Amino acid sequence: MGKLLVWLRRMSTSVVPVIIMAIFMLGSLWLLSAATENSGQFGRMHVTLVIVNVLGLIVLVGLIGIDAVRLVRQYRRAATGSRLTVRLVVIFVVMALVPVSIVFYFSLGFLQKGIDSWFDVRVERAMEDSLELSRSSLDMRMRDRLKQTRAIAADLRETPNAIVMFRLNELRNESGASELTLLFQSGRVIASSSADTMTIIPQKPGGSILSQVRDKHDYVGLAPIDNRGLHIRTAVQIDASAVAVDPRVLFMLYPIDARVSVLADGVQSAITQYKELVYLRDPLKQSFSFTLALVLLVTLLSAVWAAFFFAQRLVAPIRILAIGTRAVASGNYQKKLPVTRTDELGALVQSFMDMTNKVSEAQRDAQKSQHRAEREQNYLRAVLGRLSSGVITLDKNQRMRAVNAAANHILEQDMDAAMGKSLAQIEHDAPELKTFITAIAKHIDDDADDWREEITLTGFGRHKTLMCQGARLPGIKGMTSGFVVVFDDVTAMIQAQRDAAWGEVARRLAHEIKNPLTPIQLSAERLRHKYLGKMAPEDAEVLDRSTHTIVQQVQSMKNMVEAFSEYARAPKLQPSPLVLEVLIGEILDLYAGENQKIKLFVHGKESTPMVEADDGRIRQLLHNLIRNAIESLSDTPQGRVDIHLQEVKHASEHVVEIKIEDNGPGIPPDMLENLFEPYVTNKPKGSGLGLAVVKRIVEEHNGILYAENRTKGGARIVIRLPALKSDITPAAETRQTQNSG
Amino acid sequence: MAALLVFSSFALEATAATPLFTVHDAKTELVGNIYRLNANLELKLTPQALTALDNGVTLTIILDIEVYTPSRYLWDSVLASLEQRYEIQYHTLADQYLLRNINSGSQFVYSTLDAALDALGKIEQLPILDAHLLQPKEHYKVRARSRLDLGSLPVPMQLRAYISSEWWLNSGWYSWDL
Repeated sequence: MGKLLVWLRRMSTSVVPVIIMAIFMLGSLWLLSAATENSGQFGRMHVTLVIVNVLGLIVLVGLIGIDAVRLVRQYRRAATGSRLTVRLVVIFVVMALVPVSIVFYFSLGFLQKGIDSWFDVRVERAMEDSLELSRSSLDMRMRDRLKQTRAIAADLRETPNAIVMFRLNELRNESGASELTLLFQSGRVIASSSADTMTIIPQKPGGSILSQVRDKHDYVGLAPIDNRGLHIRTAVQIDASAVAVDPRVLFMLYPIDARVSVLADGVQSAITQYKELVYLRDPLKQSFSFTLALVLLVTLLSAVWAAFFFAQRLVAPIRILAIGTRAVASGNYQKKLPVTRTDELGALVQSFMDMTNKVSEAQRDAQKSQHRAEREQNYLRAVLGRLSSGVITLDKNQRMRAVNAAANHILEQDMDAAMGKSLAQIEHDAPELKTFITAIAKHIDDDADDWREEITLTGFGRHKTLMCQGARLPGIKGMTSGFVVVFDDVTAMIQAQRDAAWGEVARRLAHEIKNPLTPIQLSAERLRHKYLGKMAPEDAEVLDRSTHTIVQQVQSMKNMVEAFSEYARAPKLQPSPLVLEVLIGEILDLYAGENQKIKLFVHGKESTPMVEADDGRIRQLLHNLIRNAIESLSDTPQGRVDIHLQEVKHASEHVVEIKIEDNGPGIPPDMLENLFEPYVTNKPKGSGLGLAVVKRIVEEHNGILYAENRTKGGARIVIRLPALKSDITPAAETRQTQNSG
Repeated sequence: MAALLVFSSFALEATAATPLFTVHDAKTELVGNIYRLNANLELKLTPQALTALDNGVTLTIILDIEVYTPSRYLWDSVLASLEQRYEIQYHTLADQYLLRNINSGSQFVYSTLDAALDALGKIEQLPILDAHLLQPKEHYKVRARSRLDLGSLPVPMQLRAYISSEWWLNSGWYSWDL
């Protein structure tokens, strides 16, 4: 079954069945036309052939119908190649239809005229005339023969039946008749004589002749006798006589001269044929027209079917190509197309396949390169991600192309959001990066191949020092493909260097100064003790005052040196979980009765997380800051110190923020930068180490601090200490923070 | 083909009312060892056939005779079949009708068509079967029919004759026991 289907499918697309069908139809048509011309054995097959051809026609119509329906469906579906097939079919059909119709029209005309031309009034007249002539010529002979017969009949009247046979032979020989028969009126033969010895059964007159003769009407007529040609037949009654009781009938057959006979046969057959032809005139026309129509219809339908067949064959490679093209368009380069032909269209399909193979290879290579590039990019990204230095790359139009996590951290911005933006846009979105971006833009505009600069950012509420290095990225043919900027936050390092320097100074000062102070003090006290009582009162007063001053100042110096050494010495921290609210409450209790003029307020959430801190150091820190604030409010009429305690979520950090604000004169701008360095103070009294110690304590606790002036006037010191991880409650995490004053 | 059959059956019905070809009577008799047929046919021609005859067209009339054993199923088994062909032609010059028996080759001349058809209708002592060919205990039947042979008409007339009731001259089978 499967094999049969495959065979049928192959046959339906093969040219073989078309040729077989065409040969069959041609043969059948030839036979039909032969039969129409009435040639021998085909004449009997005419109707069969008509039926065969009509059946062939129906088969063709069926095939065309199937093809047409299929094509229409394909056209409606807008299947590939259907439009071209339709166009080709229409062209083929028109090409076949027009000439066939013209041929049909003119052939039909010629056919009708041709058949009509066979007939002519003059020919018809001539035929009738010749018939008349033949008849009149034969009429004379017939009358003679009748006379002759009558004479013989008279002769035979007296001849008895018994001996009539001999007489018949004689009479036949005398008269030149070919046959002579004597019968009863009933038709029974009495005797017969024939010139042809082969004749056994004599010719007998028919019933009508006998009845005519019985009525006393002699008969004479012409008759073709078997193979012996035209004869004159005569029949005469022989009345009853003495020798014969019953009346008898003499029936004679006379041959006609051979020459006349041939002529008469010629006239007869010509007239018969002509009459038949005239009679068949219309059927002949119809028959020929029908055959012609059938032939042309078969030809036309074959052409139409062939049109479908060849159009589909012609379009097949184009359809294949279209399918291939669509596959390529959708990215499938692996589509295998069947090459069924060896002509140019086949070569086209082959070339197309070669091309897609090449494209496929190229694409594979491109994919490989892309994978390689992606791998390298991932590798680079991983490396950049692990770098502690911030890295930013810009394209040649100064748009951000890449940024690593460290850059986000250092710049405290989500730089990933700035991807693809120009420097100007980034600056607009994040004004705190102005200094940084201005510096980078300057170097790029200067077209420096390589640059290095220390940049201080101020927009974060504190100073941040970045060490930036930039380079131009080389592109193709010396063009610039972009820029890379690498930067580190060196704030802590610089601070550490400074702190270390100060520590060293303090340690040395303490050591160098502290040593001579005690001898100085002791010497001054010895001078006073030894000479105060022995001197005159005026001198004694000078001595007393001077030694007192020396001892006091030395003591003061000692205190100062002690403070220095305190600063230089970093005592070991003893951290423990600390509730800052409680701590601040205790400290403020100490200041409660001290100064009535200045009011202290605490604002804060009750449930701020705990911090891991050294209780004593934090107390020192808060004392220093509160005292500083109170001191700064000495000239302020309604001074107040506000202490805010709150939980802050900043980037990934979770901190507790302590803000100490006053409404005093604020911090002079020139001091703001170095406020937390030793000996930076605007107070007349004090060691100048208070804020330096505060800073050290904050840093010991991994916190940060900064100072700023409030917009409403007064100073603000902000300290952020890491919250104790175990004490962060989910509720605390969701709290919103208010960061500004 | 189907269309043709439909036409034919239609034609048959149309002529069934006044059949032009009829087998009036037919008998077989055993003479010696030979079965001989005696039959009486009535043959009349339609105006179309008469016109064609008068215009020189030769008409062929066939007498079909079959000896068969009837079957309860679809087809009877035919033991012997005989086809007698007769041609009738009008001789213009002699103004006579010629009746020719194609099987025997004999030819008869008649002054009128009716005489010729009457002569044709009288079948006498026509040998049809040798008795030796028959099985003794088998039941045999004979059937006969006469018809106009359309296939012998001139080709241009054939198609028209096949689809026209005017040309459908067929007596149908007349059967009897052998």
